[in-house]
Amino acid sequence: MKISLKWLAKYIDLRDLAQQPDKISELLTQGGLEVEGITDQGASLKNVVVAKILEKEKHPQADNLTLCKVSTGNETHQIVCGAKNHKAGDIAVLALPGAVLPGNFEIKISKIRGIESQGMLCSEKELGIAAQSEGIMILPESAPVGEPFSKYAHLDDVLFDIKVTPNRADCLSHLGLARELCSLLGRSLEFPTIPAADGRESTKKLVRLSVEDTDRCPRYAGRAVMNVKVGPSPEWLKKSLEAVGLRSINNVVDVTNYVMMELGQPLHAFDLEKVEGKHVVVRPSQPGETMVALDDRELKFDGSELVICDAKRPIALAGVMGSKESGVTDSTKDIFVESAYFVPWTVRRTSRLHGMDSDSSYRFCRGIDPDQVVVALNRACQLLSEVAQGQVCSDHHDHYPRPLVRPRIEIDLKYIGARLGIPIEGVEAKRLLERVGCDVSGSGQKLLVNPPAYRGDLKLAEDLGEEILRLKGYHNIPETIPAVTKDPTPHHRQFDLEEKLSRDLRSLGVSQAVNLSFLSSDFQKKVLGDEAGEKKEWGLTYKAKPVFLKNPLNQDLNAMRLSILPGLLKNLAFNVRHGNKSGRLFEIGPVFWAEQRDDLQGPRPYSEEARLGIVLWGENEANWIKSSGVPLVYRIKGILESLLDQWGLRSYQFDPLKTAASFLHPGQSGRIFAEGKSIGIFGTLHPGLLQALEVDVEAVGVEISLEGLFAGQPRVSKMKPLPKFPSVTRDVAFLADRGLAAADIKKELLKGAGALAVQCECFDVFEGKGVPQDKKSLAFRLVYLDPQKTLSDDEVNATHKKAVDGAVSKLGVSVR
Amino acid sequence: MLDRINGLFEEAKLAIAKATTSESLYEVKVRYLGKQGSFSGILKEMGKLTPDDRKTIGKRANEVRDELESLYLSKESGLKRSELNSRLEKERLDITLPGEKRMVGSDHLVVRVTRELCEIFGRIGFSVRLGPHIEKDFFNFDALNIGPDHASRDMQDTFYIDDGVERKTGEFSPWILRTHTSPVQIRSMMTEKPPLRIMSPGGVYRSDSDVSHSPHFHQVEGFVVDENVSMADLKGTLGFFAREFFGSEVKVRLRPSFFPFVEPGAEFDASCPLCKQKGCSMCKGSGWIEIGGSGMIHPNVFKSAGIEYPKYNGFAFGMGIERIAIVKYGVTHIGAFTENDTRFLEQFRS
Repeated sequence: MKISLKWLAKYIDLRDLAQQPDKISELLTQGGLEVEGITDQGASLKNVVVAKILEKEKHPQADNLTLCKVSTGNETHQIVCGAKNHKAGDIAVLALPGAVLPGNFEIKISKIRGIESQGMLCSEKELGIAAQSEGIMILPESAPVGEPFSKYAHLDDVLFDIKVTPNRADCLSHLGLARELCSLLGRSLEFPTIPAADGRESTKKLVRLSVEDTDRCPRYAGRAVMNVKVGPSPEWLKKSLEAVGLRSINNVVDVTNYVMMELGQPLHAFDLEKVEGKHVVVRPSQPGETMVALDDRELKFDGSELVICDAKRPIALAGVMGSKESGVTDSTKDIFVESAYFVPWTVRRTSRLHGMDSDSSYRFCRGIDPDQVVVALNRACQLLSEVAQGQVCSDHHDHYPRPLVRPRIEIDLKYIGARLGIPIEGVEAKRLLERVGCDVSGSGQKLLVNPPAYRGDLKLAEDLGEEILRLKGYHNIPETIPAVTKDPTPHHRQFDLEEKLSRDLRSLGVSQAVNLSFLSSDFQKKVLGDEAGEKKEWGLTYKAKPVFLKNPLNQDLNAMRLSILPGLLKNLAFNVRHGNKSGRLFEIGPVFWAEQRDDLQGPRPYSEEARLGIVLWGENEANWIKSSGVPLVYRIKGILESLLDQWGLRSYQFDPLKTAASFLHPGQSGRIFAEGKSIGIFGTLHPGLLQALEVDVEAVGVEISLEGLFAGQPRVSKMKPLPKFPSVTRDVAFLADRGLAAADIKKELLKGAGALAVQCECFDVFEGKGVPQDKKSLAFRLVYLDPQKTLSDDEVNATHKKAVDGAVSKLGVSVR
Repeated sequence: MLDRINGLFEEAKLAIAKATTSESLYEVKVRYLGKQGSFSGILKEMGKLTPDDRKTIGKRANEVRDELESLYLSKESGLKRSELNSRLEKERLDITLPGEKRMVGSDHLVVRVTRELCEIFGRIGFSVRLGPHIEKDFFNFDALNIGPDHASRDMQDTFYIDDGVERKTGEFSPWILRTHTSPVQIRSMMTEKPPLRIMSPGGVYRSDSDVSHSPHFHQVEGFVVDENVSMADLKGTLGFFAREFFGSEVKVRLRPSFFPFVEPGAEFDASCPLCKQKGCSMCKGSGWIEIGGSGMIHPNVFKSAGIEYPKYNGFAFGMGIERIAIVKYGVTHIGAFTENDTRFLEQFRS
């Protein structure tokens, strides 16, 4: 909210601080009202003065420029000017060298087309007082030549931009803020007395008032003002409103806005002639009723709103906005000014229901001061008689059947002091609480406190504790470390395991990525395809039903991710586009889908599961050691094997997928099967998909369910004795069909060899010279070991033969 | 016979001197000193000699053999040395060629800073709890003293889940994306018994997006529930964190502020670690940097979570991970956190 220093100074003596807006800002910020910006109008208008144009000639070198002699009273300056709207004798605004105009535009003596210009004649736009302007600003002849322009134009104010937290509705006005400064500084508030109205007519005789819903409208006041002359506001009123960011409309509307900015009470003025039957009714709306609001929106009510009506129809949505028809226009003569207290929740609901916000609803939603309703009404009427020559009726309506009772709060200072970590004396507490407007009784450590009506946020002793602390100063709190009173508990298991997983993957050369949890559902579909249902085989759920957002920022972020891969693919494409032709990324994070999965605290219609995703791309560049790399799919598989080893998984294998994944290369993909169950899939990313993403390098991807990987973790290894007897190694090479999987041969070899074989790996693959066209050569190394004795050559030979024979007979391979 | 011995001696000396490789030297050794070598042949004939001759000749033969042995050994070591030298010379490699580097993965700053925070707070007894990202409004708002009509629901620009139910304008599904990690506070208080000392890191969501806000960012929240906990403990805990995280010279200050789930509420600032309070663009000349929000847990929160108050008291604090990563690591744009440009990530390998 914008607050004007000049305006504030009407209610509090700030003469000692007026030249130090930084000090005021610091004071407010330390008091809990954060000042987010300060605008010092005068600062940008330094060295800008009212000046008279004595002579005007054509610039000798340029047809579209003029050369002027300009007087600032004592001195005459030569000025080159590009405008066309001025003539000799005009009073204008001159920026002299040294002036820094808005936008950090510094004025210096300069040569323009060969002629020296000793300043600049300014337009309204250049002075920062209008968004658009044509030509230079011409002032009335009466403007005093030589006077600083800021003084002449009353632009010598300082404006604070203050972030008012939702609990401090009382600070949404100049009076409120002045009151707050008084509390902080220990000064007293000065508020002008409002003279009693002396009009001849009576509001109560002119207007009938019925309040049918006092729960939602505990107080409703109104006063009629007759024969107003609607027209433009006087300069002081316009300036006051413009300074705090409001547009001047007409004198009547401006007065209601002025009082709102002054006292925090939203007001509304009805054209009395348009109030049918001169009857004002405050009641719930009827379903189907309609109203055209001041902003031209057509509203249809559903019966839940509180509305202000005349004898026939709604004329305002309570606390939010009036109707267009009943509003004040140039032809309005008599008006009815409303000042009311609507309860916050009703205004909040209607404002949300109709998506309508106003300065008025903003204040009602946060809660206004019910005690000030009539004060504000009278203030407005006083101003209306001053600026619109209205005749204020001698009386007013004030329907307030059950005045709100201010709470009585017991406060135990011993407890509050212990809670705040700072001892508080009774006398001090009393003094500080009285400074914020509370009535305090009692003595010693227990006090009884009545907070003022405008501080609706003070409900509990704890709230009063904050007030005491705020005035004492938060800087007085000492620093202590809380004592540990029981054994610390371990971290959530998933946090520790994810931490270990990240560390292991980094050690395997993969960098960590973090992506948004939501993405475009179209992109997600493009990557994952229309995979319906659960893929049990994969150990992952790519449910057809993602979770959608009701109010996404945009359609590119409309659904929760079903998989880690789409985000990583986006990163991959981004990197390739930016010249990072190779790279490795992993991400650990949740995926979401719409399926019931309850937790300790009740039913949940949505499922969340942590996953690991990895992508590798590029990486096949030749270096001087190797002229070409292995296919990437083996590199990712190697990373996975190392990882599973690091995690102590006793058995794992990688099988070709039975159901192809649409985003993976059908011939270069598989599932990860560990300790008897599927935990994820891996493979070369589908070339079609990469092409669609304009990725021109080879890339592979992995997705693993962490639930699967984390089962039984963390594992603690126990030592096993080392073998006492030597092992024996035997190699064998087979000629096999090219389509035969190495894993199948390995399986047969191990089956044939029995328990003596402790290791069996394919260590060489060869196709080409000496191998028939449709065949490949696969070489295996087997390691035999008997834990009980040293194996003899004969035993090893016999076992090895059984292993080889088994493979030959089962798979139709031949020994090479 | 003596002449033969001396003759052989000279011959052998010459052969040793002439040998140029350790192999040829070894051949010399075998030829003269081996089992089948010349000297062995002579010694075999010794039996035929008279005892006196045997004595003198034997003595000489032994002298000659010992001398040849030692000549051989010194020649051998010389040859081996030069052979090793020439091998080393031959094996010279261009060690300026690139090595076979193992790739090293790097941290994501969000993960790194989260880890740093959990380590720092872990040292004073905090332990990590996690919670769901799709949260019920009760845990995100109501239980945290943010009622359905509370004005501060405006402060949180909430993403609502589309549950397919038709509702009036302004009404939404009770399922939302959590706007802070504070729901974990409620969940922990409901399932665990005090004393509690917990922190909850993780992703949070707010529906605003501009140059300095991402709609999905990360937070760490911490809270303590115990008997005799005070706001001084809060300030001390935050001071410890700030000094550990930013540097030992950093100070913290609390400023009054408002968060519905705490009373008193406070923003906490750290003295600018970059300019040491001389004024810089990071602290906008103020010497202080806003770090997060904090306060003493509101009695209504204890009530909703079923914690006995005022027997137990507590404080809570929260801060944005990206925000403090920007301060500590000088990140200049928030897009860097989600683009996952490897050139950015690789700057954080160490």
